Amino acid sequence: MIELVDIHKSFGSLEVLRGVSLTVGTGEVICIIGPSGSGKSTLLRCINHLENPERGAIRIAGHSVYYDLVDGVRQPHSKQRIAEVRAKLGMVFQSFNLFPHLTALENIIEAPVHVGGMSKKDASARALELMRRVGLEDKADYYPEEMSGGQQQRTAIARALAMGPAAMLFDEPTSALDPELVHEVLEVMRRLRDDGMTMIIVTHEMNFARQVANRILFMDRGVIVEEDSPERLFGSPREQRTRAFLKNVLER
Amino acid sequence: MDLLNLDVARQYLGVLLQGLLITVGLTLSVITMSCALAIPVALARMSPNRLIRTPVSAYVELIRATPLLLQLVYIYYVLPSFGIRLPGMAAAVIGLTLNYTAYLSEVYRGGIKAVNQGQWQAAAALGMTDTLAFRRIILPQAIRIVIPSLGNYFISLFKDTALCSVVGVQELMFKGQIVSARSFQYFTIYTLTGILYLAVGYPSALLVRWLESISSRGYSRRKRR
Repeated sequence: MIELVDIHKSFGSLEVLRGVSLTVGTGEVICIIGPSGSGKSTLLRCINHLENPERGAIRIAGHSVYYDLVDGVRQPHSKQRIAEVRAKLGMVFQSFNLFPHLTALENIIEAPVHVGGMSKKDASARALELMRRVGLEDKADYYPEEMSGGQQQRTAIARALAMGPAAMLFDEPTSALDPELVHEVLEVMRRLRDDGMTMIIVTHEMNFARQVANRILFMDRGVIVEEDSPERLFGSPREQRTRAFLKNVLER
Repeated sequence: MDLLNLDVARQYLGVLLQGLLITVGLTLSVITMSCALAIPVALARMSPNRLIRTPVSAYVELIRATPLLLQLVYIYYVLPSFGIRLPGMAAAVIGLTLNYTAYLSEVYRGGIKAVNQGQWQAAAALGMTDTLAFRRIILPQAIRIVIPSLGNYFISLFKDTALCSVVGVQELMFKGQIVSARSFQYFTIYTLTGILYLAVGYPSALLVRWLESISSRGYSRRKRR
């Protein structure tokens, strides 16, 4: 479903990703953990082209994200192609990034109507269905700032789902939330997994990662240090760096 | 001799009101055009393409570094040497619009930059092109941010139209000068002129303050006190 090969990305002289490869199958849930600055978020942002890696290839459902090979020559994608790839991937941000001038419902129908060409009526019906799925059917007319952080993030998830994405990318979706609101967002994500959604989740919620992930990736300094099932990675990590990180996080 | 001559005031009020009408018309047409033109100018100034950015930046800096009065006079008196002869009113509209577009483009530029970067990213992640994201997501938020500044420029434009008297536009200031010189009733006529500016300018300032209070309010369904 999603395939990353040898991704390299630098910001100036700082190498943020130093050769990351990863394959995610359909319906699989991958959680990426690791200390801040380890490149987790950057990796996620490379997948939908919000960052442009210097080296490496990313394929989504067999289609290359950055370029096509035409007779062995790299043809970078047009802006239109990039936009199309992005529409196939739902992304949820740490800071929600809802559009403040639009209501929850308008946030959700914005892309289906103006990118997907759906009629407002159909898009609204679908949006209401999505709002029900995230437990916010009564908040359709609310503006983002009238909602709690947890409600905003659930709206953001519904917005990302509205384009019918093949996979969802979550960039620390609960890090900006008050502790008592974390649960409601994780619950929605748990249900998405039960529905068979392919997900890549960057998170600091270790318990959640342990419960929902098929695989855990531990990243540090731009590489995947260790990759394993939750039981093994949390139970008996092989790498010293993983052990040190988990000890730090879990004993807090 | 009485300073205030009510008969003179009554006699010339009609003429001054004609001037006021032109002042208001000039203000409204220039602010409308400037508000619209300043958006593409702001975008051009932020363009990554130097061929677009450099000439537009030069225009904005040229306008901002020279007096409006000189710009008006230049258009009206110097351009004819190059075969471009404009009526006073056209020179005034063009001069003021060029001037205010430059200033307002800076206002928009600030407003566009002030919109959170996360908004661009969220729009991009949903498959929007930059153009669509700008039109649907960024611009509506930027306009909300710049409304107070636009309002202040609107008020200052209203007063700046007085400069157009030098290129023969018969706006309120021009009429005031003509009429006072004819009647020698400087106190009466100029006071009346001032009152007429105030009569429009002050309510406008109140309107702008009201707009400010709306735009500083959050996005909400409910009316807040």
